[in-house]
Amino acid sequence: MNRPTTPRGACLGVGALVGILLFSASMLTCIVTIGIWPGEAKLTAPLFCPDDKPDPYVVVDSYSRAPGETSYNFSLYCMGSRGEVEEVGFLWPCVVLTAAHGALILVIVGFFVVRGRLRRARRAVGEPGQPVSPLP
Amino acid sequence: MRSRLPWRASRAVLACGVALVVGGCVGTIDREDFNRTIQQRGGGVTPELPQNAVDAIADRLGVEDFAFRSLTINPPNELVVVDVRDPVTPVNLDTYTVRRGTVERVVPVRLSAEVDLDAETILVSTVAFDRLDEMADAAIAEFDRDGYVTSISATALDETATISMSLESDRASATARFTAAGDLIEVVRS
Repeated sequence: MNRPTTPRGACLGVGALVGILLFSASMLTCIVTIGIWPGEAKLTAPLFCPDDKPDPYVVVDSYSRAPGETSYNFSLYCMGSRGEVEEVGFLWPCVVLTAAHGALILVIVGFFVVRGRLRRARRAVGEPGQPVSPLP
Repeated sequence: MRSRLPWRASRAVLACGVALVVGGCVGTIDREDFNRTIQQRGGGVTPELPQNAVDAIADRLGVEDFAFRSLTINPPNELVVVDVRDPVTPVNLDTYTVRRGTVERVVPVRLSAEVDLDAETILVSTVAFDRLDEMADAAIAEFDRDGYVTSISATALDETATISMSLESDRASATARFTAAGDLIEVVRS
């Protein structure tokens, strides 16, 4: 028998789900945006680039802090038709991308949850104890 | 029946490995190529660069207009350096460093006894900084279509100002001179 859910338990459950979602979205951003495809930050250009500097570039600077060690720094720039530039940086594009990745995870998980429930509902029809429509 | 899961999992791991090894720079441009792109577009000269700096200095001084001795613009760094005559104490000159429309630093200038600031300064409103884009286009057309502007300076002397624009291309460098109204005087190859 299922125990009734208390408001405190519901809050804790929602909080845990939000935490898991935030963690997953952050990890996805670290792997995809920083590890594999920093150019993804260009997708956020419509949010950060002014109208007169519409062309986004993700500039990579590499420098060596110690022998045998190379560090990379990424930054989003917006460029205008005359070569004028504005630096946006990489923090805010990453924040926006983390939110977008979180939304994407929600959509994918929601799709599988809904599909699973529909399958279970279909299987349940016709099982003993379920109402069956009378034959004509 | 043999399960296909291990094969699928190994393919996924292989794909992730390849992505991490090959990736890390997908969709990026390095600093050298980025600077070359800026140069191909003319060097990043816009009238907003000096205008934002002038507005920031005027705000700091609490005046509408002010006199200056020299103004230097470095487009790649969005840096403007202006020697400004103090409107409250006109015998003083200060160097204002403005980056992206924000005054970063103000440093007093040590002047010799012979300096005549009345002759060596001019009101900033009398110089056509709002025509800077047209001036850059005219200078590049006269110099080399593939050229770009590296720096601009305006210097006041004898109650007028001369604007100089440094130009470079892969094969040459030159200096373009303009009147305070923004009309091209000459382009001299160096």
